Amino acid sequence: MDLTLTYLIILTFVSLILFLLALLIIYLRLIAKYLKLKEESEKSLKEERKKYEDSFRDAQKIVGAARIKAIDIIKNAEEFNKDQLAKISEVLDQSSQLSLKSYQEALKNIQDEMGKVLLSVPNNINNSIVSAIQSFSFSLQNQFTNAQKKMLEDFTNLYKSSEADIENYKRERLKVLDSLILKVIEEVSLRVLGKEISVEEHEKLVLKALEEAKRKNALEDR
Amino acid sequence: MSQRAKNDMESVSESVLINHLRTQEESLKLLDEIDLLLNSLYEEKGEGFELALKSKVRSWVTEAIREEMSKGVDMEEFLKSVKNEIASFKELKISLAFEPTSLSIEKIYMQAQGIWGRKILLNLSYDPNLIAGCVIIFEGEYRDFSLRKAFKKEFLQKKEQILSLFKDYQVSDQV
Repeated sequence: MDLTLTYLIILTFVSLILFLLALLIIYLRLIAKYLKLKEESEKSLKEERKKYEDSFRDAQKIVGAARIKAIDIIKNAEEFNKDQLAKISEVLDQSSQLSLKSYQEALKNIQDEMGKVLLSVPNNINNSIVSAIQSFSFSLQNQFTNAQKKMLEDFTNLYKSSEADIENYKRERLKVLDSLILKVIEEVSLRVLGKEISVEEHEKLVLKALEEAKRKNALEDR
Repeated sequence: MSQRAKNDMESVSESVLINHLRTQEESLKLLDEIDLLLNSLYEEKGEGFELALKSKVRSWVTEAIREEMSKGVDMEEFLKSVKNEIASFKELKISLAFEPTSLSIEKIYMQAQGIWGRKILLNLSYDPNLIAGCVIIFEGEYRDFSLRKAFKKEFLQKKEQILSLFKDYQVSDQV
């Protein structure tokens, strides 16, 4: 009996040890897996960050290019004239009117549909909902019109500022051109004059210059 | 100053050698010839001078010297006086817009002599950029009487007018 008990105790002990060993192995595996996952996560984070930085750099390049393009467009705005501005304004107006119209139609449809639904609800609730919708519709319409006005205003300001820049540039270029023209006229005139004067005329002019020197008491004998 | 010395000086200033001179260039050439003659005075036992007169100087110089010799002047003294006389001349620098002929130089010299007296030597140079007229430099004083200067002054004053005329001409040409 004692021997059996002893065997049982030993068996239980061995089982317990085996169980603990199994637990330890599982724990170690878990730790290894955790470390692996952590490493992978860090690696992935780094890659993500790198991608983000690359994207940010690309975005910066795109923004830079867009800026340069925008400057070019503003510079080339010389081609813009008032007619074109009026046309743009007209197109914007038409577009906003069209949008407003389609929006109003959609709203009307919704209102109709809602009206049908609301017939089934009590009158006071119905009225308040309709009034709320109308108020919302009015506010939206106002905002839409304001946004359109603001856009047109911004566009006009941009056009005016570009126009002023172009005028300044034109003025500067014309100044340079004028001075060049004057220089050329001067050079050509002098060259032509030089060729047209004969030796006799040269002599006369020199003698006259000597007379002039005498008359002005310049270079008088000392 | 002794009477003889005075006479010698007068003789020098009236000499053809001096009266012939118009330009600085000519005077330098004459000074070279006088130096040659002075050096030859005591060569070849007195024959050197004659040889130099015949072969080392221009004919008009030879003639002028012979004329002076006929008056019995001391040749060494005379030649030295000529050198001194030339050294006392004032230089009148004139830049011309054309290359002058002998006649042009003569006319300019006469005019200058009329203004500044006899003791003048022209130093002429050629500068086509002046267009016409001349630039005069006398005793360090500079005067620009060129057409270039007058033209530039006038051009500067009327540049707006000229530009406007030019533009009008361009417009009418395009029409």
